[in-house]
Amino acid sequence: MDWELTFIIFIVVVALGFDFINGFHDAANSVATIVSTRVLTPGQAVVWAAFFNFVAAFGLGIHVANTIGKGVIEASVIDEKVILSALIGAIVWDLITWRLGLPTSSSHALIGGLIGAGVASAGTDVIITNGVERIGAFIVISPFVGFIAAVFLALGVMRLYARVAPGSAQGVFRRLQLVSAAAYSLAHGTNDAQKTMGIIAVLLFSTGHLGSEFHVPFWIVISAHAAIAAGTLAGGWRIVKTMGLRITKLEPSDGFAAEASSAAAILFATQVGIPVSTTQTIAGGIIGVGSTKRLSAVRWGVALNIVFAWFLTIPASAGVAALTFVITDSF
Amino acid sequence: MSEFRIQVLLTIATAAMAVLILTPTFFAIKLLLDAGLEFVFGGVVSFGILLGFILRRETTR
Repeated sequence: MDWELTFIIFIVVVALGFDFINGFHDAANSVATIVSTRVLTPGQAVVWAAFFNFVAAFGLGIHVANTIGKGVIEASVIDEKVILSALIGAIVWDLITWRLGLPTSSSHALIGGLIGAGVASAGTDVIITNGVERIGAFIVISPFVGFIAAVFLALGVMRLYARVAPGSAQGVFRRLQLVSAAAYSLAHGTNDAQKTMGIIAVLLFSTGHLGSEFHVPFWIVISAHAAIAAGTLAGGWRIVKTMGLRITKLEPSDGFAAEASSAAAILFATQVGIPVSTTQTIAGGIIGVGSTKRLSAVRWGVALNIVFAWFLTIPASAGVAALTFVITDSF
Repeated sequence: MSEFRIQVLLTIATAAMAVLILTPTFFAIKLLLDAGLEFVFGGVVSFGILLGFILRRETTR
């Protein structure tokens, strides 16, 4: 096996590792509401979320993968060093913010990493302005969409159940939360795994291992979904062990409204080919549900941290990726 | 009516309500997106902030 192919395989493994970490990080979002409402035990919830992360590989399209592969920077400037630098930029920034406790998005970090490495490689002309503008706008739009949809759904639930006995409502939402949690895990799986698919596919395409036309082979789809599902399983078990049930108390109807509206928002973005932060979208949904009860009950510190993260993630991960590219290019 | 039957009817009603609320919401967002990025950005963000203000007024009474 030649050196170049070995290097490409190494980068594919790093990309799948990034996907695994994504599932690991986001496992809490997928299982928190359904565990806190005691619909499932932590162990059952983790398996439920990982299963739907994986099932998302079938039938939900690859629009986001195409955007990552062809809509952020010109594919002609992409090589092994650009992709490796982009991944390192995203991973390093994720680790820094994880240490600082900032709720940043792995997706935004990956896009920032791609931009930074591409610019360091061939200048600012490589940026595909239309694609980056769409992604940048949806960084802000997607939490708002989660918020608005959750408010409408929570108000609808309140009206429909105004004269229903609490016991009956509890039984209904325990069942519906199984569906909404599955929908959220499905949405999370498809949007997030497709980012890794796009990275791997564009790497193989630009190095001549994918033929003359950009496409995403099925083995990449399956591998990316398997990696994110495995990450959710691993991350979920860690949560079970270290957090137990110290998760914010939510009513089953609140969990249903937040999960269903966030799932719809993420699936919408996926169908129009826009990579979004699944974490920030469900945060918008939870804030929306909380706002229908009492706006002062919302933890605004978390919301402000999200706003802070919007402005910081892409420039910072782009900076780390650019620096990584300069260092690797000098060897 | 038995408790089981009530819960089945409520489950169907809730699922139908979710579809009836979410479908037009996302249809409107798609229309804004088709009109242009600036429309979806301005429309969604300003409506979200307006909704926040209305909820604040209504829930602090």
